[in-house]
Order: sequence, then structure tokens, then C-alpha cells
Amino acid sequence: MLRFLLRRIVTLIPTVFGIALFTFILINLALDRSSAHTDTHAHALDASQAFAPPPAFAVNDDESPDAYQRALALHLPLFLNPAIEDIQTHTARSLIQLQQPDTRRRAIRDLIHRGAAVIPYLVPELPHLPPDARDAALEALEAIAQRIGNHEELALAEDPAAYWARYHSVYGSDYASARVTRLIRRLVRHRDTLALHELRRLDTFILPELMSTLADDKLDLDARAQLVGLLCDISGRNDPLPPGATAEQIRENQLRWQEWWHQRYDLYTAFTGLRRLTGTVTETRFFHWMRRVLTLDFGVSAKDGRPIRLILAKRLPITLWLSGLAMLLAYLVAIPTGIITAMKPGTRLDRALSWFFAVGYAVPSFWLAMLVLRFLVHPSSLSWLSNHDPSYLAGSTHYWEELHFGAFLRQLIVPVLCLSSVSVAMFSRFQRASMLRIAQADFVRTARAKGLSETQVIFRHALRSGLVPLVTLMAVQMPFLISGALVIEWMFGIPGMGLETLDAIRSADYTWLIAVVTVTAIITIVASILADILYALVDPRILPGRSTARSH
Amino acid sequence: MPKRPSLPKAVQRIIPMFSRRALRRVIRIYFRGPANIFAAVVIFAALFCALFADLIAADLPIACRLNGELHILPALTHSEALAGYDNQRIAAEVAQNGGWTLAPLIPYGPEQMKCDGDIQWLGAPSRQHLLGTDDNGRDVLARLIHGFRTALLVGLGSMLIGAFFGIALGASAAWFGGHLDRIARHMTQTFTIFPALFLILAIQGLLGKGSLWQLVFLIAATCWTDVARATRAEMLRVANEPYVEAARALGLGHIRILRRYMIPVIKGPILVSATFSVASAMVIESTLSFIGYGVAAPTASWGGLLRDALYSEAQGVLMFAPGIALTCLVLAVNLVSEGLSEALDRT
Repeated sequence: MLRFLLRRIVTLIPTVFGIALFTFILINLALDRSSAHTDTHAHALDASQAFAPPPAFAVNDDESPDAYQRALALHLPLFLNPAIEDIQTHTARSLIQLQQPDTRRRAIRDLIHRGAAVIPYLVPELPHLPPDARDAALEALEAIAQRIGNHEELALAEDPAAYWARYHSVYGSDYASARVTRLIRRLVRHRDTLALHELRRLDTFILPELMSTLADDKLDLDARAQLVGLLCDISGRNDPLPPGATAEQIRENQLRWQEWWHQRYDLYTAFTGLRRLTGTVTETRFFHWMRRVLTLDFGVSAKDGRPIRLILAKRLPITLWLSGLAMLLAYLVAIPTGIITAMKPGTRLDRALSWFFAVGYAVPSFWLAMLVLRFLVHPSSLSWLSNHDPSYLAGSTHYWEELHFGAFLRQLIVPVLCLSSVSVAMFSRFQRASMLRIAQADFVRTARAKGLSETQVIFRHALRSGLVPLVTLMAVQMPFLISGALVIEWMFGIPGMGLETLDAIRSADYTWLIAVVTVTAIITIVASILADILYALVDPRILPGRSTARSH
Repeated sequence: MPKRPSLPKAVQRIIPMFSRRALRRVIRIYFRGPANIFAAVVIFAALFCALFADLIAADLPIACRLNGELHILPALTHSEALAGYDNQRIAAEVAQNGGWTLAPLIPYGPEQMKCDGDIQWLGAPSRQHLLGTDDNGRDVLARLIHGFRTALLVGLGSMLIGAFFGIALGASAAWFGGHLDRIARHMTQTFTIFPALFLILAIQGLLGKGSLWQLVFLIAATCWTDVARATRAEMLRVANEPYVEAARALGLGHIRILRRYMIPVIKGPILVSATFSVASAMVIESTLSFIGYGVAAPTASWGGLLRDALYSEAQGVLMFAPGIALTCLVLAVNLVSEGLSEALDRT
């Protein structure tokens, strides 16, 4: 059994890969098209974000129009990255740009945005620069000095270039990741204010180590709050951890910062050694995308900046309950009716039910829901529907999240009935057909010939084989039900994945759309594995070593 | 010239070819069931409505003589001389100035908002508007008739595109086997796994709501899998039949074996699964139009009509007629598909 399962899971790996590849192609087709006319250079920061003096100074560029492009790594090449960009290459490019008068302003702005992380790469180059480029570089360094707090010293020095050379010779050894790690550890363990002071001075250079420290879940709240505060100071992005934050708040905050870092880590990190070597593959759109799919981390919503994973955690269960219950109902109705109609084929009951299910199979569930809402269920009994119009998330979300479980299930009754109508009809027809086929099989005739009662023949012998086609239907029906749930959610105002998707389309929230396609695919994969397990339980012949493998 | 090798006549006779005789048998068996007859009638009626929608319900007459000028099918030729005219105005002028006009059965166009000079919003069924008017004062019956066109265009169009791709993939997977078969199988599985509505909505969201053809292609992209699977399974089944082996042993070419010995046998089941996908394509289209991401607004679509009914608080006809039409058509297509598979089984 286990071996069979493992084999099925292994054969699903190409499917998962196929899904990732497919959605990847989809994103690139769609987003390349939409970004073609906005003409934003991926490496350039938004021009409207001019440098502002501290404390309002920000390295943060959340608002820039290419934020979602960075979120999807659209600034990277597709599959192979022969020229990896990191802080070193970015700085080198800025140095070249400094020497051209027309790109000078942008280069200065870029350097300031990088912060103190550029010092190890910029200061040693100062003597080699032509005079006007050096002046520009010093201008950028002056702004950085204001950030790291040595601007007063700098103002006193008569030759800024010499000051920076001296600064580098004194503090140059501080710009090393081992030192930063040590400083952060001192801060976390001993609340060392001196360490904090030094970390402030190192500014953006500490970001890689700071982020990896924050990724640790075991960090206690005080230390985390302090580190996040430091991060806010450095980045200028105001998202601190409130004192006494709940676990959920911490998580949400952490996911937001993680996404922020994920979008711009290459601006502050130096790729050296192995990292540089593997970067050819890892610093590509496709790798970034695979990482997102495999870790189910789809970043933050483009609509309101909430982490997608947390929205999913709220919306997905509702949709799963809805479609899962509909599936269950379909089985519960289909198996008995299928048996009853197949026992006496051609009777009036059989014919009536056959027609009923044939029509039921053809009635679209959204129309059924509409009729039910208009004529059978008075909207006032569905109290979350403020008026008759289907309301997008508005109002209903809060109501649904407050519900306790019993009330939640009670509210789902009518939607589930509407959603499952098509599946009930389909399953019943399938069950009838398969029971009729089995009834003519040799082993059933043998059982009858042995003199077993009709009940025994059906329940002992026929039913088990008759269930096989129905079980395999589950894998096919799950995508159908999840699609159907979208409309039902819309009609009944249930804040599930479908309603969120419709909302996302209206607000052009690409990240959610991409996430939802991937997640629904993963759910149906899980459903198909589940169907396989059930299949193996009902029909053990497909297990390896029992007989020939089932043909696809 | 050497004679091309062929199977003995006796073997050729047992191959269930789709000869005219076999076809006649299938049709005879098919029309034994009353449900099948009902389905065929509905389908033909729907095809008729879809093809001649412009003659049944239009805002311009089929033909008329106005001010000494003869216009034939002005709705199709977009005649400049009749710009700004509609049936009612032409009738009035004909009565005044002489001439004649042949109005369509339903003298209102599907997008014509102004009827009889005064707009009726959500009018009840009357002699003028047999099914009443919608919230924009358009004739519901006219929109319903034109809805046949959208439904069948999407249903048949995406079925044809999907079936073309599905048959090509399934057949080549079964024929060549090996890696191609494996890739094709994973591709089919991947596309079966995507919930169609989410996929189409996401693409519509990413690409922006496009033309009707974008919708047709998107639906086709999600419903080719059944056909591909059926094609592959049937091909594999038939490829092991003794007469195909015999044909191969005779050294016949791939194309010849396919054309003479395999396609006649397998086209039945493929046809059945393709017919099923017509129904599901129609349901997907109307669902999309219902939630507002399907066919663009002024074009009549049953899902769009139901959406109008939902938002306009309409009681009665507007919310029943499109749903009934959709249900009937889907039911008919399903019945045809079942009837066909039964008739093919028996021949």
C-alpha cells in the first residue's frame, strides 16, 4: 500500500512541475505584456522618490510601480543568469554612471538608496575617479553619512575624500559579515546598546544577517521588536512590531518583512564564492517562481499588502468545507439511489429518477442558486446578506469569521445543496450504470446461482466492484466543485477563495491570482491522491504485486 | 506498377467502417429512443435559431421598399440609407409614403433599447414583447434568440479547437508511445487538475477581458483533455486488434493504416466525448457571463441575461427563460452524446 502510494506521489511530481511551468509561462506572457508600455527599468528606482533628508529618508520603495515586477522577479532573466547582479556590480555600474553627466543624478540617487552597504565598494575607488565624478560620489557619501551619524565629523574635516579614506582604514574591518553576526548576537543576548549603536552605523550592510536572524522563530519578542525597530530605522519602511504582539501579528509582520527583503536582497547582498556560482541558476525568474510554489510563499497581496499565505489560511478552509461537503453529499445521495434504481431497472421509479437526474445534471448550479435565493430561501434568513445583491466581501467577511463552527455549518447548508446538485445527478447516474454493468458480471451470477439472497448479492459482491468507477470520479469532480464554489460563494456572499479571486480581478491583484491558480491545482492533486487511496481500498487489485498495474 | 498490398475482402468486411450503411444503422438505432428524438429536435431548433437569428429577431426588416428603394437584408449589409431606422419607424413611413416591408418574426433587435418610441423597463410579457423587456428596455425574446448564437458559437467553437488539439495529442501519444506518450499523459493530467473556472478567470484577469474569441480559446484550453484521453485509449485498444496487426504485417504505411483501419473505428467514441465537451463549454461560458467575466456586455448571452435579472430584481420571465433555454440545450447535448454512444455500441 505504502509503496503504491509513494509511486503515485512520485508520478505526480512531473504534474506539479508542469503546473509550476505552466503558471510561470502564463505570468510571463501576461505581465511582460502589461509592463511593456510602463517602461520601468528594473534596476532603477522610482524617479518620484527623490532623496529626502533624515529622518523621513527611506530606502524603501514599496510604492514604486515596479514593486510587483520585483515581487515576481521580472527584472531577472528567465532560466539562466550569466551576469548576476549584486551590491558589487550595482555599485560598479553606479561608478560608471557617475562619470557621465546625464546619468549622474540617477547614480547618486541609487547610491544613496543602497546606503552604507556601498562604502566597502565605493570608498576604495574614490582616488581613481575623475574629479567631477568624485565630487558626485562625495555628495552621495555625505547623504549616507547623515544616515549613519558621522555627518558632523565629516563637516569638520577639510578634505572629505581624505576623511573617507581614513574612515575606511579605521572601520573597514567592521564591514564583514562575521562581525555583523557577532554584533547581532550581542544585541539579542545582552541587549548591548553599544552593539546597537554600531549596527546603526553599519546601516544597510547588516541587512542580510539581520534578515536571517529574524527568520528564526525562536527569537523572543523583545529582541525581535528591537531588531524590527532597527530594520524600520534602516529601511525607512514603517512597520514596527507593536509591544505585546500576538503570535499571529508577529507572523504577519515577519512575512511582510520577508517579502520586502525577498524583493530587494540583491541590492544589498554581495554574492561570493558558492553563492555566486549557483547564482547562475538561482538568480532567475524560474527559480524564484519554483521557490514560491514549493514553499507556498506567494508574497504579499498587491491590493493591501497582506501576506497571501495568511489570506489563504482564512479563505481556503471555507472553500474546502463548501466543496468537501458538496462532495460528501453527492456520495451519500448517489450510492443508495444508484443501487435502488439499478436493482429494478425499467420500473417507473427508475425512469422517473433517471429523468430527474438527467435534468439535474443539466441545470447550471448558479441558476439553481439564483432561484433558491429568490423563491425558496428568504434572504433575511441568511442574515449576512445585507441586501439581495451579491456583495463582494463587503460586510460578509466579518460576519463569517465571527461564526462558531456549528453556526458556520448551518449557514453552509443551502449553498452546499446548490453546489452539489450537478455532482449528485452525475454520481447517481454513474452509480446506476456501473451497478447495472456489474449485475451482469459472472461473479454476480455465480453468487446468485449459489442461492444467496438478493441483499447479500448486492451488498457482499456487487457493491464493492460497483463503487470503483465512483471513487475514481472524485479526482475529476474536485476541480469541478472548486470551480463551482466560486459562483456559489459569489451568489451567497461567502468569503471563500472564489470571492477573494473575484475581488482580486477587480483590483488587479496579480499575486493573488497566480497564487490561487497554483493552490487550487495543488488541492486537486491532493484530491487525486486521496482518490487513489480509496481506489486501492475498494479494489486492491491495483496494488503492486497483486496483478497487472491499471492502465491509464 | 506493382499492386499495393491490401487485406483480403473477408477481413475488410468485418471492419466496422463508417460506410453509408453503417451510418444509416446508427441513425436508425438512435431515433428509436424518444429522449433522443427530443434531443435532436432541440439541437436542430437551436442550430436554426443560431444560424438565422438575424432573420428571426432584428431591428431592421428582412426586406423592404422604402422611398422607392429596395433594401434586402439591411441588418446584414449595414445599409447606410437605413441608418437610424428600425422596424417601427420603417412601418410608420411605409404606411405614410407607400412601399412595403417584410418585418422579421420578432421585430426587435437584441441590442435595440428603444422600442415603439417609448422605452419599457422590465415590461411584463405582452403582445408586443412576448417575454417582456429587460432593465434596459430590450426585448427579452430577441436577446434569448441571439443567445443561442453565443452559446453555440462558444460551445461548438471551443469544442472544435479543443478536439483538434486533443485528437492530435492523444493520437500521436498512442501512435508513437515512449517519451511523447509520457509527456502527453502528464500534460493531460495537469490540465485536468486545474479548476477550469479559476484558470480562465485568472487569465482573463491577467490579460484583461478580451473578445469572444479569447473566451473560446480559453475554454478550449481547458476542455481538450477528455478528447485527448478518449483518443489515446481508443487508439491503443484498436492498435492491438488483429486486423490492424495484419495491416501492419502487410507493410502498409502509417497514414494508410490510420485512415482505413483505425479512424473509422475510433471516431465514434471520440465524437461522443467531444459532444460532452460542448455542453460543459456552454455551461462555463454562461457561468462566466453570469459573474461578469464572460462575453462583453451588449452581446446577448444567457448567462448575461441571468445576470441582468439578478441585478434588476426582475421577477418572472427574465430569470426563467434563459435558464430554461440553457438547461434544455445542455440536456439535449448530453442526451445526444449518450444516445450516440449507445447507438454506436450496438452497431
